[in-house]
Amino acid sequence: MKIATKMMIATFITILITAVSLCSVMYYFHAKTLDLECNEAMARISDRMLSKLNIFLHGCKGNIELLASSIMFTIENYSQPEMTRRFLQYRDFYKCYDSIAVYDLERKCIVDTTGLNIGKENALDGYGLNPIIDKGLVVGVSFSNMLNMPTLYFTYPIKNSDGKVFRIVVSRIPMFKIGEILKSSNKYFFEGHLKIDLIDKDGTLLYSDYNSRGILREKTHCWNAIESRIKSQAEPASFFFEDECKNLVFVSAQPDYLDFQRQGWRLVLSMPLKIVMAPILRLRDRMMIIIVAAIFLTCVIALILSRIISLPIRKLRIASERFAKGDMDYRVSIKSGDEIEDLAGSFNKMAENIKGKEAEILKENAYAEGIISSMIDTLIVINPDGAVRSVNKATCDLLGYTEEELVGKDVSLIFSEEEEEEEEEEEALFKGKRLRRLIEEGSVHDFDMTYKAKSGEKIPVSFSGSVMRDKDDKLVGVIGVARDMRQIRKMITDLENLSQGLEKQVLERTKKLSRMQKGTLNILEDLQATKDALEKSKQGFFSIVEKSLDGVIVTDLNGTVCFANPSAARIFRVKREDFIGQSFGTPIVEGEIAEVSIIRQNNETGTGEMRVSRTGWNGRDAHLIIVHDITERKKAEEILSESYKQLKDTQQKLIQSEKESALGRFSLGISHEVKNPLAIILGASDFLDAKLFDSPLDIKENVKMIKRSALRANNILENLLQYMRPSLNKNEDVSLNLLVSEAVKLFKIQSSLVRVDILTELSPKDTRVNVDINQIQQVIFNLVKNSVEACQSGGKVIVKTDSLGGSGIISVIDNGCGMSRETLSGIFEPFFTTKRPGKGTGLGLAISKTIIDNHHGNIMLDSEEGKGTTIKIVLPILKV
Amino acid sequence: MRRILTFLICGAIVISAGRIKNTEIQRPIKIALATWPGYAHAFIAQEKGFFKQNGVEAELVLKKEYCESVELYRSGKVDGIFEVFTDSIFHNSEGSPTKVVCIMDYSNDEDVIVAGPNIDSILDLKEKPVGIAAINSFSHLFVLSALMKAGLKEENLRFEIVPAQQVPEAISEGRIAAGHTWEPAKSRALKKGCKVIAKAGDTPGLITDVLSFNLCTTEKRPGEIRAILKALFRAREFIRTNKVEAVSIMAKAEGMKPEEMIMGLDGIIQPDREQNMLMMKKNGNSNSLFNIATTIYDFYGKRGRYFSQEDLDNIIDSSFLE
Repeated sequence: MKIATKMMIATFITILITAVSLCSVMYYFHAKTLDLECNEAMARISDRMLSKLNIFLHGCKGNIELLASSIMFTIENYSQPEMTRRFLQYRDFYKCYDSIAVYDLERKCIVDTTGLNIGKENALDGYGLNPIIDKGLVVGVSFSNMLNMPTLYFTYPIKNSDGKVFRIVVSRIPMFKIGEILKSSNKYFFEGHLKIDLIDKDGTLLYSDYNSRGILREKTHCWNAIESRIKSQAEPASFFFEDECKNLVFVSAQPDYLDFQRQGWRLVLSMPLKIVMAPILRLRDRMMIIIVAAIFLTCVIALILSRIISLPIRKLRIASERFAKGDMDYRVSIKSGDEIEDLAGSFNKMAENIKGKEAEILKENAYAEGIISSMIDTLIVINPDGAVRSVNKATCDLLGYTEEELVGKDVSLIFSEEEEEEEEEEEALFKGKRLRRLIEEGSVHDFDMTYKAKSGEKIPVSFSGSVMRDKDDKLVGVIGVARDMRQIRKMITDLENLSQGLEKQVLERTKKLSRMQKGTLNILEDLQATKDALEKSKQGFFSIVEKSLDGVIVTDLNGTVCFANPSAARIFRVKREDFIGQSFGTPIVEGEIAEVSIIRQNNETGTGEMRVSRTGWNGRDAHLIIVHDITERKKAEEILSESYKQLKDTQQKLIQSEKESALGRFSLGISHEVKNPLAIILGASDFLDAKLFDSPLDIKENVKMIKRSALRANNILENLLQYMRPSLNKNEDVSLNLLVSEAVKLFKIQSSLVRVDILTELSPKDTRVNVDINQIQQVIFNLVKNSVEACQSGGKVIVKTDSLGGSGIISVIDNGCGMSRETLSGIFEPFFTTKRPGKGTGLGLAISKTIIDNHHGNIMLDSEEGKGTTIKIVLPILKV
Repeated sequence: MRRILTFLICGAIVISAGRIKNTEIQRPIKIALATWPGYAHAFIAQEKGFFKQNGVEAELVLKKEYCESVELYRSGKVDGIFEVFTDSIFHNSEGSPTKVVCIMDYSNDEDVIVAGPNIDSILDLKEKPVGIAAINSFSHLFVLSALMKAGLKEENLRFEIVPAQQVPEAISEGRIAAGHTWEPAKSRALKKGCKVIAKAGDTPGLITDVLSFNLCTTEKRPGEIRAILKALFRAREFIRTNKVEAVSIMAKAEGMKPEEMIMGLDGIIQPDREQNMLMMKKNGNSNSLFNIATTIYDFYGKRGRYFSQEDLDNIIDSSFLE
């Protein structure tokens, strides 16, 4: 339910409760007041009615007494019409008698104003004669068959002149007349609604203005209630109550002065409560209308207000929904100045934070995905049920499946079944229940396995797998990485073959070099003799510990020194007595040998070898520590190591020199053999050129071509001879900067058409070197030439000089095409060239390297394909 | 919010529907009537479906004797009654508020005093018993008025209670010298040699038959009362245009012979709508109910029954004829 609705309902309920409470209070007090007023009014009306009725009855009584004493009736001389006429006069005067009649004591009708039964015997029905004769006046209410209606009758005896009763007179008053008298007493109080019953002692209706048929036939409608109240009261009194039919009933007992002839009549006034309460009901209805209208109005206002109040919350909700849908840039703007505005601010801040975090996560995800996708090794994630969950691109590439073909399939699609049968027990992790086993193990590393590709090819892989578990240690999957081993296996095979070949070559070469190794062996023998001398000197040490030059220390297992010989005290530069009882200080590891710094006998610092072994001391386990001065041995070992290194270098150089000398001899032989014919060819071509001055042009061209080719071949041979011939260095002291600038200038003069910028950056600190100037300039010339050729038009070549430590450095840097790794590996080999045939001999760099090597320098080359090449020549600086 | 509004609307619809239902389910209006030619056309309206055609359900409850129908009405078992105007006044004075909505007829030759062979004129009835329907009834009033009009005095009159349909026999038996009666007893009496010595036409309007309804019905179902009156006037039209069939229907319904019915109809005057309006106005013609009421006041006032002119204003209501 929305907040607006809740607020509206709350308002509605509050108003409803308030209104109902107010109405109830008002209704209660009004009803009480009205009830009391009504009762008082009914009591007054009742008194008035009974008074009138009493007056009327007394009047009737007087009338009948007067009639009975009239001389017309007391003597028998008057005729019936005469008497009737007299009665009619009475009737017409008083206008209340329905009929007046006279009967004799035999019940014969003598006179009757209705004209009925006159002269008839036994016409007087229903009236007892004796009471009339005895008592005089008799009053009662009975149903007159003759008149067909309830009547109030008055009977009175008529006495003759002797005072003897001889007739009776009966006057009949219709009960409606009584009703008229009663009703005429109330013209104001709920006329038309007030119901009037006149009842006798037994509750029988004597008159009812609403139940005329019930008169003398029925009791009043609530007689039982009235009777019970009358019986419960000691004295008859007026009272009122509410009957079952929701009527307010007032019962009036007649006071003595109103109780005519002690008839005991009662007046019962009743009125529907809804009439009594009509004013208050009207008030209630009006209030209800007002309340309903007020509630409706309030609801509308509450609805509008609650909408206004909840607007910021709705905005927040919309913002949350958009945020939940991923619109991270959405911000809510609320200026309500209350807590909701604060909330909106917090929301925006939170959104900012989340956005930042999300960006980080995305970045990390992208990074991780990048790693996975760029992995060369295959990656596969397997669900606990053995289905493939995800794979990386390398897996798909390796196996030939698409990702969709693999994801969701059982992992057996990939794992070769034959693998399971063929593999050894050790590799049975992946047999049958492989995953379960892997899960039990937790992880495996570098297991040789076979993957089954889509094409059916079996691919040997090295598999590493690990089980993934969530924070509750529940298995969520297995992640496996496998590397394609085909290439590696092939390489291993190739390597094995290669090593076999190499072994063979080395054996052959070793034989050739055996003679050269003899010198080396002599050095080794010298070294061995030195070692033996050392051993002898060790053996010559004192055998007795006290005299031993080795430090002998005994410590308990806590490291506290228990014993130390004088050498030990010396070694650690402490007094012997101070030493014992102290902590040894140096960590003691039983069975291991450690080197410690010691003070030698000549008080120099040296290296000691500390050996720790288990021994007994005073019946307890203890450590025996022997510290031996190995300073000399260390030195000897260093010398030995240096000698061995020199030996290895010498061996390498011998191999190289052997190779080169063989090539040199071959080249020299060839060169001598070739140079002679070449000299003849050149001489002959010069001769022909001179002789064929007037010959056709094509013959002259061919001769020139022979001459050019012979010159080129001669040049090659010169280069080859320069490389091979052990030339003697004519070293001179020269400035490195001068050397370089001269060489570059020379190159520029010779290559004036080159469209490449050649710059020189000379070190401000000039360095002097002792070199063969011509040779070094040739080297610079060669290097610059190569760099220029590597550059295209518009390229740049920089020649720098520098000094570092004891070396002068010449750098030739270009931004040309650079060289591949393969090219770099053979760049200093003779006859190695990347140029087109006829364009280079492949000897430039080989000669350069030879020259630099002859100058005890070094030549280093760094190149990146497509970016350029840097060549550095390191030359030893002339020490002044 | 929508749910609350829906709830309120549904509530309103249910309450409205309930009210509609209350007005739709109406029991038929019951009307009591006695054997009297002036009431008989109500059966034509019933037989011919004029009530239904006017959109009203009316049920006629026939009683042989007039007194019985009046008793039925007083008991509250019927909503309306075809009766003599006098009794409509009595109902009000007896605590049963009743309204006269239409005048059915006033008796001309139908209400008569028939006398035995020995009686030649009214004056011969001095101190001889005359039959009336009941003391203080319209019959009493009619006979008393006729006799006194002829010159007899009240003290010289003798009455016997004889129902109208038994008058011929009572005369034959010698119980009464004359008696007030109407069809079909009238024809029977004449056949027995009786003669008419007085008729209602001698005292115009004194016996006026009306259609009355209790106050509850006039207040709550005025439309239906109007429809009933329309149906009754149409029935009268039917009598004029299809007299044979109409008489047949009416005679059969009231247990009379057609010729008796025809004679009965001849003995009454049935005012049409306009005449009705005129007769129900205060200053109308001599046959106006208000004029007739003067005689009635005099008669009943003397006998202890009180009602005023104001009462008449409430009793007579011509609005249903409009």
